[in-house]
Amino acid sequence: MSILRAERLKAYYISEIFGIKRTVRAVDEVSMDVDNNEIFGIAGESGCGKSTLIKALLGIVKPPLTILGGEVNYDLGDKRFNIFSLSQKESKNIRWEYISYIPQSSMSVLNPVRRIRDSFKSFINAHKKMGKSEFNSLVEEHLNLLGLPTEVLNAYPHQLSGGMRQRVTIALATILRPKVIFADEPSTALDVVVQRGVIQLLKDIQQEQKNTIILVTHDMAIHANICDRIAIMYAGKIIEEAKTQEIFKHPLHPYTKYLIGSLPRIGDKSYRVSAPGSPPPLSNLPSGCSFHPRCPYITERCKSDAPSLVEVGNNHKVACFLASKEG
Amino acid sequence: MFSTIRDLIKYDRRFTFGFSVILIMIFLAILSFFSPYDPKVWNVVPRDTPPSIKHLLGTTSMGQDVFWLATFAIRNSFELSIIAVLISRVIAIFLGLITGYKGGSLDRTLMTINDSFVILPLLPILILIASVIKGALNITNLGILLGIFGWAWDARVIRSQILSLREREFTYTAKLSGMKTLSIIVKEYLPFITPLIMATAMNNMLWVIGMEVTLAILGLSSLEIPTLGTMIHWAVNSQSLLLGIWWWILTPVFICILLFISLYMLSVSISEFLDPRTRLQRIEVMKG
Amino acid sequence: MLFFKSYLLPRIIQYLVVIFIGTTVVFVVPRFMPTDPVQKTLELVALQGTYIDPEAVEKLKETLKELYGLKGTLFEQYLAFWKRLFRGDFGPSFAQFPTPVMDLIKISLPWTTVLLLLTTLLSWIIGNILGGLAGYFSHQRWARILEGIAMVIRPVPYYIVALGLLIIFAFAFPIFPVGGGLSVGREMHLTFDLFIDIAKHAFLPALSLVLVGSSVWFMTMRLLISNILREDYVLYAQVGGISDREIVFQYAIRNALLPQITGLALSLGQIFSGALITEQVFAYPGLGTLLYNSVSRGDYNLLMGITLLSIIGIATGVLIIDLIYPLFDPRIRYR
Repeated sequence: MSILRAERLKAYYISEIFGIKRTVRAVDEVSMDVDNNEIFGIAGESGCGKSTLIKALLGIVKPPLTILGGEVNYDLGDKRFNIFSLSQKESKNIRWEYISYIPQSSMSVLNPVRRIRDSFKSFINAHKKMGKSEFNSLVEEHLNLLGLPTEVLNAYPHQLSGGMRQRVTIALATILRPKVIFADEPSTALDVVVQRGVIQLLKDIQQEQKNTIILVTHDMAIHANICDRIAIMYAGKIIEEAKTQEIFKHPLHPYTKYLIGSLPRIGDKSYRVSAPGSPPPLSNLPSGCSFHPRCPYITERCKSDAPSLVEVGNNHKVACFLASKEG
Repeated sequence: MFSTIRDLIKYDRRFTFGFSVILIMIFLAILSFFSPYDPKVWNVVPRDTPPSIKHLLGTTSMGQDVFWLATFAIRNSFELSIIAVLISRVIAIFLGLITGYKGGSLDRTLMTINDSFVILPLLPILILIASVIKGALNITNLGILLGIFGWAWDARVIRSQILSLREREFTYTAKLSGMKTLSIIVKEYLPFITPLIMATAMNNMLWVIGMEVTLAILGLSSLEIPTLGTMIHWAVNSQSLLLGIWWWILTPVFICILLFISLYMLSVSISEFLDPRTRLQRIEVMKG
Repeated sequence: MLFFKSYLLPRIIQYLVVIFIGTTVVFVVPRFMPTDPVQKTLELVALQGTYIDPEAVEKLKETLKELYGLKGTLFEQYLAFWKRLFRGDFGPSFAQFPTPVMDLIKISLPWTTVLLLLTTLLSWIIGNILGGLAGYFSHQRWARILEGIAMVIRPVPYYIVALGLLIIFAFAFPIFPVGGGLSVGREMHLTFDLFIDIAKHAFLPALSLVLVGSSVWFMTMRLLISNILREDYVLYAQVGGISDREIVFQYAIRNALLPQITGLALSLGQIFSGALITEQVFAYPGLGTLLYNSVSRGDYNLLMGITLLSIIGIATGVLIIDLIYPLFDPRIRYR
């Protein structure tokens, strides 16, 4: 059952500095379908528009970010809506209880001059009024569940390590048991050991609360570890989408092929090859298929027409003229 | 640089205002070279006459034309502030660069001394000094005096900028390529902080002219030299308010207010222009 | 213990350095005076017409030299200077010989202290709150109008603002008294009327200081807030649906207060100078007027005394603020 459906979402950054206009096409006609009770991964390099996509899906749109078209429809059981049709007040109410967000820089999202306990109080009270004892039991229970010591509540953010702050933020984002959780690079700034803990935490939460997590990261290892389905993003568009196994075993899009091919494998000592060149700037995209300047299988059509995301069987979608003719 | 000024004029009203007022002031200051009256001489024109065609802003109780006196006042105030600002810039840049770049105990010692000058209440001290060398405070000496005391705050500002520059990659690259310290400072940092120096210079100018006004009103600078401060001093001391000779006191006061507001607007708009974060804010306001 | 070493010690050292440098400057400057104060006083005495025999004159000279701290070599004078400083003895006033400078200062000090404390506190609070609100709601009309007003008032020197208020409210529309601290001839009995009288006289100077002070804090606060609004924890709080009111006060202002407290410490000297100037305009019987009188009468001892006291007072004020700062910033309090 589809819990979130984005249709032809277009979100650009439009700015004007001293008379010079600049348009960054961060999210360019993106359509996605996310089910309940799954972990959905969005992969791509830095600067491909992943973070903007999250913001747009969440409805956090502040100038210079502008929505130019498309819908983002949520189906949360008792509530169904297009996130852009909600008023400020309504969208504020939706968050935390139904839709939550673990941002990219989780280490600095806690108010430095207040204790963790007070931060929790702020977030909870904004959505649900509760008495002191109810609050205490809720928070302590939740922390216990996530394996975090309750002493953390009395601390100030700067007294905790980066990994601890990350986990506290995850606890904060999930305390009201939201149905959809967006996680943007939740473990990027952490060392490998802590990374594992954080990713495991997310997996445990999902299994326990049976909700949906949309996980954005450039780290394919994380995708391989916990995601059920993955969408690959390139230059503001989703160019491939399939179950995790499928993507790793049978990548169809040339970019995805390079991506998977560049991952080191245990025992395989051959040279790793990555895609030549670098991703285009989102303010100045090439015509037709955005990948064509780097693609080894380029045809004439690729230079002029942009391929759309089509299903090629087995719930595997790809946006490539060549790939969609095969399989 | 000219394109920057042109852009600022087009898009930032504060800059336009400040810039045009300063231009007018400079024009008036240059006008003083053509004055028909010698500002140091009294009783050249009939006293206490209100503004008229002959005397655009009236005359003072000492028989001087207010308008031409004012042009001298503006010019002298500019001269004074240029001297003071130049001296304090040199000291501030020197200190800021050295402490910012070297760090360590040199930094801490110099900064402690520097901060002492920030904390010290300069007015009583300047009054003390000025009253001791009362007679010799002409424009140049006053400029030097104020220059010697006005560097402390800006040295701090420059220092923190250098500190952040030091951690940037291009410093490491330059150092690893074998560039000598002095070379790095002059060739890499100086162009970076030039706009910052301009913004702080304007702030400093504000302070200098303000201090001059204060000292002059107390009667502590050379009172025959017409500056904005001495004009107010004479106007107040001759009871111009009570006698209803409003043009004499309102002229320097009004010029002061205009000058200060325009200098402040210039410095604010330049520093906002430089600060990349506020630049983003402006983009948000002008959303497409 | 670590806290004391890393935070407290440098500040105490700074305090001592400021006082040391300030005192040395105050000591050195009058030594460059072209005139000899002892000679001047002797002339003053001689003007009164009485005849004193040469021996008595010599004795008088010696006593005066000692009183004015001019006995012995420069270094001996310097040490003696410090010794008297610790005793609180600034010597006798030249113009009102032989009244000790300290006594004159003691009379004026309470007037200045009360005015300064009240107005600084008021303008800091008003400026910060208004600046915080205007910074958060910066696109609204009222915020921009406020900013325009503050931008115009802030650069104008204290003297001009005070003069302006004087002209408008004491001359043009005579609502308030033209100057002084009390109505002429009133005695200091503790009655309600006395308070009203003092308040009336203090109103314009206070208003002048609060106007300028608030604009300064307003402008800096507004800038700070607009930078803080880009911080991750504010953006996250907004995503989390926390009310604007809570964000402005608990997130934005509380964090912006920290550099503002430091700023208060650093600008204490300027605020003090401004208060002195304002007092002069209104002939308010505080240190400012005393300073003005000492200048016009060439009373160097009084001048030095006021300067020294100002330096010590400001430095102490800065130290106190530095000591209070950790109460607001948990990052300093808990390492």
